[in-house]
Amino acid sequence: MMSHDKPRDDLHDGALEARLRLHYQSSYGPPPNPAQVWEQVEQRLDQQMIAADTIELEEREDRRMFGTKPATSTQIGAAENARHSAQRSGGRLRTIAAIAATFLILAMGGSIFGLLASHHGQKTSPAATINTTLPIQLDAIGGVQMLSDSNGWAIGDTAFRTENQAGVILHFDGQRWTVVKTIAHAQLNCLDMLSSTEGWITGDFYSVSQSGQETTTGSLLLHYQQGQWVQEPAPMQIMFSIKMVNAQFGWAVGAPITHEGDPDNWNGYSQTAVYNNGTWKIDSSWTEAGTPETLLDAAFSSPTDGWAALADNTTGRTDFWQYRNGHWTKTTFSVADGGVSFALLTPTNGWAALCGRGPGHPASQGVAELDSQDNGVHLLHYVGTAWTQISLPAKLTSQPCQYINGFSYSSSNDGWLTASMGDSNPTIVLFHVHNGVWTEVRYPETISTLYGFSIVAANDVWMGGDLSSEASGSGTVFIAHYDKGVWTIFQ
Amino acid sequence: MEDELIRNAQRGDTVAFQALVERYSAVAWRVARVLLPERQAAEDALQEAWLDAWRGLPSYSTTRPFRPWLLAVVANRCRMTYRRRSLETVPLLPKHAEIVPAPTNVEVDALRREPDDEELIAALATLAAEQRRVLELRFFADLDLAEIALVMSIPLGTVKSRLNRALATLRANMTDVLDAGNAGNADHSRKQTAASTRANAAARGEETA
Repeated sequence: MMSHDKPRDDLHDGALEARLRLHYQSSYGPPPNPAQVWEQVEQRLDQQMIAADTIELEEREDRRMFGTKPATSTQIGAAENARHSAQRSGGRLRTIAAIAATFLILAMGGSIFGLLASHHGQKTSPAATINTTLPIQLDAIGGVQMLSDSNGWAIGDTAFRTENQAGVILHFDGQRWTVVKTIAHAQLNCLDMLSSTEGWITGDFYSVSQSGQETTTGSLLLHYQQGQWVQEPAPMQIMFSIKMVNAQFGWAVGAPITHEGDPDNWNGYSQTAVYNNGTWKIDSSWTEAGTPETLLDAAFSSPTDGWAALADNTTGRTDFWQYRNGHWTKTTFSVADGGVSFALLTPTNGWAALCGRGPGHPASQGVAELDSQDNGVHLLHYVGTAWTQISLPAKLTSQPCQYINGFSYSSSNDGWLTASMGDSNPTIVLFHVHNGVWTEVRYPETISTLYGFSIVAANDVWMGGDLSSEASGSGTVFIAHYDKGVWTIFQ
Repeated sequence: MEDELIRNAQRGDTVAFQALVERYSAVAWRVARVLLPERQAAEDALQEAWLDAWRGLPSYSTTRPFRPWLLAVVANRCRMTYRRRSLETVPLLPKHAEIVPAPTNVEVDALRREPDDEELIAALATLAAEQRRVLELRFFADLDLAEIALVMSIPLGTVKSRLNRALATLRANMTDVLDAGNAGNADHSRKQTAASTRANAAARGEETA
């Protein structure tokens, strides 16, 4: 029988991973024989080559029948050299045709990107999409923050997983994005701009071996002042996120590096650090307040007022903690375990979005309605004395919520929320709330992920995301601007 | 060697492309299996992905690693397949798992606690779908973290946080199962749970903060 005086041997890193590997091998079975795979692929290639040749013959016939300009010998002769070329051309043409068809549909009324009505009956005008370019190909977006419609910042990473990996800082001047700074071997995690002259960025440094394996080697903290990004000593070995209340006060979430040399070299022990008048210091008030739990999110509306959501795995619940005058206090309010995201406007006006994972997960306490419907997203509003639940459209509450990828309010009347919904293969939903009316916003079909919001005005919001490109076969991250029904995709 | 294969395949050499297909067929199949719950759908999507790769090769730059590019092709094809089939799919439950002969690797097999590892299956069922997917891509498809980020279209930091959170939750849940049968000696459990709780902390903080 296993002793409780020492950790279970079958749950340490290597053993648990071996059990997982064995379980998955048993569940999924072995892969098909590679030679058989090739046989099937080869058959498909042959079919497509024949089809391409047929198309070419038909095109020749069309040219003959309708007097179209004859193809050059190079165009036709390519098939002699390699039928695959014709097949590839066919593929590209079909892709171009598909793209053209998409734009045609857009031009004919935006039925694809038309905005859906919420259960409140709100409809917005049809949307269109404008594609434009970034000055550098990014492989990840860490954050986008707009100070105005002509002054914005974004962070990301390029040359992901290669020796040339670098963090990139971009600036938007109202027309285009430009690269302000690149930091070699860095990943940039979080951006918080307080004003046009004050901002912060957190990140990590990586070393990448020739085989492509990455190792975290330290943290990165950048401070923007007087027009320059300057590296400052980081208070934690890994820096995840940063939230500044003002130029003198802010918070950061991070972790120590615990497994040197391991590509997953932090095991998640979280830390928080406080910035107070020019000095970063590890925050110990959690310990004073009691046993630290899982920090889900923390937000501050002033240097003396804040809220945090901490999950307690012993109860399976997420507890709300309140920060007042330098001390954290655990409130009696708790909800089901799941993602929590805060959007605080003032000490007496804030919002919290919760992610309920559905039946089988612990129910909530403190808000009776949540006990019977933990499925989906829940929205709570704080008005200075208590949190109360706000009703949401059925689409946000009728299926399990996996993650709240973005949640932000610019005022009491205007906010945005995007979440990953569904259990087996989650899909993202995007909602805008204005004057209490929730509207589902359709996004271009090629977008597979959206995250983060920077709200400029009602119906004018920026975000990051991932764009799937069938034509190139590669995923591409992007910065998106949604402005009154029009999407502009910078990639 | 691989660069030469790729360059030849880019020029239309099907023999070179065959070598690439055979070299990467196992990892590509595993990724497709993770992303699409139904085996047939995964294998159909994979065939399409190989054709996508063939079509996309001329625009592929050999200055970038081939494997991540290929895995992105596979992931994109799976995403498109899923969108078209989304009404037909159902959540993958343990009871739906295909029954295949157990591996013969004695060293690994010795670590199994039960034939079906019901404890692990039960603990996995408590995870969010996206956490389960990260685990599958890591420990079934054998992708590294950057590749998982690419395939799932999420930042590397998010992959790390999800992976750590998933492992911590698994450990905590499996420890809880053990503790449930050993009431009265919960101190160690609490310590372990606290540790896993902390392990979750930065992960969730990073994703939502």
